[in-house]
Amino acid sequence: MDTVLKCLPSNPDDHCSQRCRLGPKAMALIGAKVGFPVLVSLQSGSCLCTAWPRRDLCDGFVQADYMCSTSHKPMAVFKDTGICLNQIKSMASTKLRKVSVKVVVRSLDVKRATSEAALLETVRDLLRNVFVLNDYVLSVNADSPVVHIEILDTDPATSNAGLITGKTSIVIKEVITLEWYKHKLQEAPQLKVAAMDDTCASLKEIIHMPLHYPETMHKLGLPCPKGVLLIGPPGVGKTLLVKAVAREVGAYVIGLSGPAIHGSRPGESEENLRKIFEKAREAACSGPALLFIDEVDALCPKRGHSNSAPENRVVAQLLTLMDGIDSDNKMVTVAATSRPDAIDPALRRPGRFDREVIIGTPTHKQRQAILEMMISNMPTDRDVDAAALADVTVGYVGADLTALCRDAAMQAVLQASLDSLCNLVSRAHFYEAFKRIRPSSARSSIGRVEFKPVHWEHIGGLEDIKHKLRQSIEWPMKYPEAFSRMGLTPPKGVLLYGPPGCAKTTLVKAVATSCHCSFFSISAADLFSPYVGDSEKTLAQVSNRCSDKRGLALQPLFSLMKLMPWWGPDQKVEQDLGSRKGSFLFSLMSWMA
Amino acid sequence: MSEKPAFVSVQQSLRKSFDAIEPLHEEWNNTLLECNPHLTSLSNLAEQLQACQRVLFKKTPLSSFINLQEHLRFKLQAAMEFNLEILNQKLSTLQRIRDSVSQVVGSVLYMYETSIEKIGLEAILERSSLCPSIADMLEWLQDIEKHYRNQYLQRKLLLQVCGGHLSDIQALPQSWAKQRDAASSKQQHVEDILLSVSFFRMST
Repeated sequence: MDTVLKCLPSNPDDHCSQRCRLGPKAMALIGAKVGFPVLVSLQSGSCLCTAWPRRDLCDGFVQADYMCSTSHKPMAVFKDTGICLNQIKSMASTKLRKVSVKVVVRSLDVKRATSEAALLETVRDLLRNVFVLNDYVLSVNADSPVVHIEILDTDPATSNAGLITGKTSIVIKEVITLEWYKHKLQEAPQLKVAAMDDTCASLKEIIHMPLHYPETMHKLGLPCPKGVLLIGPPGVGKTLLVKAVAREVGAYVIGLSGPAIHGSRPGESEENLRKIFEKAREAACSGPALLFIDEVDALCPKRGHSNSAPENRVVAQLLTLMDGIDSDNKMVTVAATSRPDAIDPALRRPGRFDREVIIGTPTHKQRQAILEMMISNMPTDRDVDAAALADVTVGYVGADLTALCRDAAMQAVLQASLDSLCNLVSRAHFYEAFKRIRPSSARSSIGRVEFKPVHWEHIGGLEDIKHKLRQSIEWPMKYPEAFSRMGLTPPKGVLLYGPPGCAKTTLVKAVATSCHCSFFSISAADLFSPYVGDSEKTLAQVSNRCSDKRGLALQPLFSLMKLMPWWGPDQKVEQDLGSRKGSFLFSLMSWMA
Repeated sequence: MSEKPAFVSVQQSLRKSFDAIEPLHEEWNNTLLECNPHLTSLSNLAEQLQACQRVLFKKTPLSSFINLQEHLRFKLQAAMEFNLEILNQKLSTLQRIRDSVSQVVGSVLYMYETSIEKIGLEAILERSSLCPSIADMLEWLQDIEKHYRNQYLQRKLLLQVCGGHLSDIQALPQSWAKQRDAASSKQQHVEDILLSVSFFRMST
């Protein structure tokens, strides 16, 4: 029984005939009768054929037409060079009374053009005298409008091969286009997103709403919300979130990126934009579709600032296309950006992007959730504590945490290759990685300084000052509940003054070390520039950077300005700059407040 | 002992079916040929109707005839409907041929299925220079039946689709011919099959 038959490509005459050509001996061995069904099990699936002798009655070869198989791409998938005889099994057949099918048509145009009756007749013709099994897919490669027919259900439900005769009634349960079918078949695993449940829910809701409550929305006379703008610093997982949500609700994602749109010819960019929207609209006709515009600030910058006409035209085109989306369409546009200020304000009005979802730097709890999710996939030692790691990774975004875990894993791999003792990722590895991976939000920012950790005991004397600093900086962070219980507002600023060399800077470093915070140092030289408004802008950048972290981290992160060496020069500058100093001071004060 | 009569009876029914198919095949070909002039006239009528809809009679010397456009359109449409009626009759002839072929083939297959146990694989595969094996002939019958089914459906869909647009009706002869060219190899196949079984049919 273990004779191996050589697989040859099927005869062109046998195309779509479901025939499996075997030699007479092989047929006798497996007990197959001419014209009766056999099940051929292959490595990547199985297919149902009918046994027929080869024309030349040669043994040792098999030529099968994989018309009815478990896979929708039989020609590409079944590339076995040899088939064992015991892979071919003779089957009994039953005549079917009724069969329910899902029909995949070539394109949307075909679907529109073909009437229901004509489609039913085509399907009936294709299925006539064909043996089928439940969940098998019939592939039709001829130039018919139907590409695949999936057998959903048969009556009588049988494990035998079911024969569809002229008397079998055929029910078309669903008609979808080939594109959707392929999309649904992509068996991508669900993406895991931790710590973004509320954002996730709001995004899901906006995609689901027009799908599940179309009548309600119609009765209310309201157009469904159809645009979401995701705002957040780089690396917090905006793109990942969109992908995960789309996959969960089974929506078809069409990506749109700025660089792919822009073309060299005048008008080409607008044309490309229109094409993509048209494609999305077509996809939306057969199911929920999601148009995702990543880095929308590149595509749609503020119109006043850039004086290049082509860019303005692209923006205008995008705006009109956004308006053109019909409210009864199941299409949702999601855009993501890390620079919301750079987007044209016309895009942010309701009706275009109805909702703005801000994804901030993860808080302590969120970091913990993210780390727990990542660690769960890694072989970690027992001493790895996600909560402790979340404590120290203030200001890290999702991408940073991923990098941290990857680096820790790399450390473990390196170590394992050296001593080959332990192949678990331990706490030490994480701390080693922690030294290398810095939060990306702090990269390339002004005022951020790396420094050697200074502990309180490194500073001799000055006990009362240390105590005061602890009280005003460390305590509000460590015991925020106590502060709120007693109704105290934590101090917002500390002014250290004294002659040079009396450990002012060192004290600040010690505070930063003890609280695990980032250390921003700004001096007058960093801030002042000869251009009007430039210093205020720099200050605003730093303050944004700091408040990004402070505002959103549970264990608040605070920035330390080296104010001491700054006030000195300020006094001198006063005479030169006159009123500018005033405005600068205002911006500083407004930030401190 | 029961092997022989079963074998002979299957052969007999095969012979009968081929006998039945040959005239049907000729009728099919003739019907298709008869369709051609009607298709051409239909296409011409469609062109005329299109032109009639486009022209402004007020600017022509014919403007003195009132409601000329409506009258012309009515006439043309009536003529088109008449043509379509004839084509539909041809189509129903084709359908009848298809159904009778399916019936003949179905009855042979049923006969074969009931007596397969008695005949045995070797006898089914046995072939000589005069008589093709039963397996071959069954295969051919299936091919023929499928060919007629496909052809009929495609022609029918062609006529159905064309209902809406005049330009489609105008292009009908071309698409009809294209259909015929695409199927010509299959058509040839049917004739080849009938030739290959001619000795078998004669050897009663």
